Amino acid sequence: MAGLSRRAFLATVGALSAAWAIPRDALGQVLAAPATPSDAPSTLQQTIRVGPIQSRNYRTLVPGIGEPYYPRLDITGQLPDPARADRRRSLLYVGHLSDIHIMDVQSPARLEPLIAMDHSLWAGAFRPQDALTCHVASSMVQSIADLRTSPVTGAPLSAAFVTGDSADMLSHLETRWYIDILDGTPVTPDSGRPGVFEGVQAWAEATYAYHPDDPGSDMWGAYGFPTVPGMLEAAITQQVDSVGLPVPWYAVYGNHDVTYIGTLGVPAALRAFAVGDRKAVEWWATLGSYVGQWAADTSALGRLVQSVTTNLGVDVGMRAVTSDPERRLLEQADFMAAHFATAPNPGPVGHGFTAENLATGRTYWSADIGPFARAFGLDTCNQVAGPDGAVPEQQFDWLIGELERCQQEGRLALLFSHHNSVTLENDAQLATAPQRLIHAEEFIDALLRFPCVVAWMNGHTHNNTITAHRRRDGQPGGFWELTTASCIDFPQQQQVVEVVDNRDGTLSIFATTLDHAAPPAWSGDLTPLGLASLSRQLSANDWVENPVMRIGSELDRNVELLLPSPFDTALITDAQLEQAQSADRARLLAYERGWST
Amino acid sequence: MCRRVAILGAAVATALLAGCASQIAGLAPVAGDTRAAIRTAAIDVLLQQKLTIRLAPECTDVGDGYSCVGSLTDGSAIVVSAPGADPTTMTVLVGDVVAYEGSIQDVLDEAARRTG
Repeated sequence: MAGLSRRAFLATVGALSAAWAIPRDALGQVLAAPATPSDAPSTLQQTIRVGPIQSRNYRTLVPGIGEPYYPRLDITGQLPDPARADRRRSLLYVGHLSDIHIMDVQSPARLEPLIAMDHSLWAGAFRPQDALTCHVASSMVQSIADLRTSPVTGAPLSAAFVTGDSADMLSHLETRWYIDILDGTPVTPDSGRPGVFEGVQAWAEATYAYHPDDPGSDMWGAYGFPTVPGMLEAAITQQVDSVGLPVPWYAVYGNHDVTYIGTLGVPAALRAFAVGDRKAVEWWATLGSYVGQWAADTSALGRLVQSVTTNLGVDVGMRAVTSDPERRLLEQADFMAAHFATAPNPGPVGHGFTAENLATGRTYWSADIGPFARAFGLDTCNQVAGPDGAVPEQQFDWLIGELERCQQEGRLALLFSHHNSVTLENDAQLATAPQRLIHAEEFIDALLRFPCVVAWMNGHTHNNTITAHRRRDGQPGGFWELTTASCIDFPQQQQVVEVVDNRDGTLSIFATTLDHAAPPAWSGDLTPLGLASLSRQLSANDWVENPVMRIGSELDRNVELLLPSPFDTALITDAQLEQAQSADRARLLAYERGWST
Repeated sequence: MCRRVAILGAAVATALLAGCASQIAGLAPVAGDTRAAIRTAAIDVLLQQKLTIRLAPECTDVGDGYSCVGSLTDGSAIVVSAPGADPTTMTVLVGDVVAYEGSIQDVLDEAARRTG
């Protein structure tokens, strides 16, 4: 292929060498080397499967064989040309994370006791691996960093996208930890009294919770969950280091980043409770003195109950804990603002949100990812109530205008949102500013009008699902929707995604599923990486979540997703591609050298 | 006394929240699980029988259960039916042939434990 001329190559090396403060020779060698597909760990080489019973119903995890790419023909409808592999060239390679759900498990704002009332209904209020979320996030960042060149073409990673639910409970501290881990800044996931775990997993009377030091009297122990002495102490006292993402990363809102437990509005009294010195240990105390505050804000009867219980000094079912102002709950705009307190590399400052977003309160954005693609970060969350989402009309109209521009400019459009096509049906309206809410069917119909839309990446349902959206007029064309699993529930997987030009009028989108870097089988290791391994194993046994369903099918994991090219891709020259990838390679080299600029 | 008042408060709060059932339901494992389970299990059945899928089954709630439709590269239709509001069993038809009839969860468990 006709790439950069020698003169252009030398100019590129010179410019990038100066930009990243990398010696010219070192950079020149890297850029001159041919791209070779990465053999870094992924589920192409090894999967993680549910293993034998260890105790009662509790199972361990074991390695399984790798899974090759399965070509999906849903949109093109015909078998692809076998020779495409020899012709293909990479147009874009990105990482996709979602539903990281970082938790400060010692926060009074959590609702763990409610699972004693109804485990299925309140399953998200407590999971046995809740104390280990920072460890999993760090381990996942390691996996994405390891795969910073493509396993298909060897192309460099250009960017990463986080599609919401990054923090679990609107907490400032949780949001801080998530940003730091993605940036490569160490965190110690402790709050309140330093080094002392103050939470339901350490309180014997909370029999609904998993007590790793002694699960003999709780329902998790009855299921067969292991005794892991020292797990809680190890979880909150060790610094969790992170290698950081090697590329600019971009964030969108998830329902857990905008409503309380991803579902409810936040009453004023709750904000005080979150930074206070009492934490509920019984479900009736939680409801009576805590969720009741939400009811008190919304009804006269609720206010009466609140008044009675407060005046009588009802404090039973509570435990004293050490207060911590860092546990404060965020307002909607605070989540955006938090992304401006970030390391300059990998950047960008704001992570998709801009000064204009902060000034206007607009919570969605667009960003060019290299010269051939544009990303759209949507806010599909409902600020009023309910976990599911919709696209407000104002945002929808903005997106349509942007896609028209994208189509004219001959750029690929990639959409990123938290909610997916089965969860865009929320109708709750802000009384003060009602506007029409666009639901899935209308949204998809609109996207199908724009051939430049090739992929919509999202999360929310915590399972791997890849869906084809074909044009409904029978004409060839459509786009692919990639829903990734989460970092909290089994299988704790995320993905990398590459768009390649097959040079035959079709594109292929390769999705590669990643397990986080921790070993499949937990060996008793209580280091941060070992705790991430333990987290995965615990999550695989959380029976209420039906963990095996969340793995998805083979058609939802390692796949080649074929679709017609949205425009004449020959207009993108090999030299242009080489120049763009050289910039990405130089950034990766700067990352490997510790961002020395 | 205090405990009784607290429980009374809890009961009232619960009653208040009962009016917000749709919101509380969202705290359960996130939506779409039943449909996802059926689709995942059906695809696993097809791939275990070495069938090549052209159109992955797309599942819809048909009121008294779920129905999924897809096709193979040889043109055969895939039809999956799972009766009931929260179905535990499904029937997978390929053309006129029953490819599977039985438990959804058994298929998911078997797939998750398959190491080779």
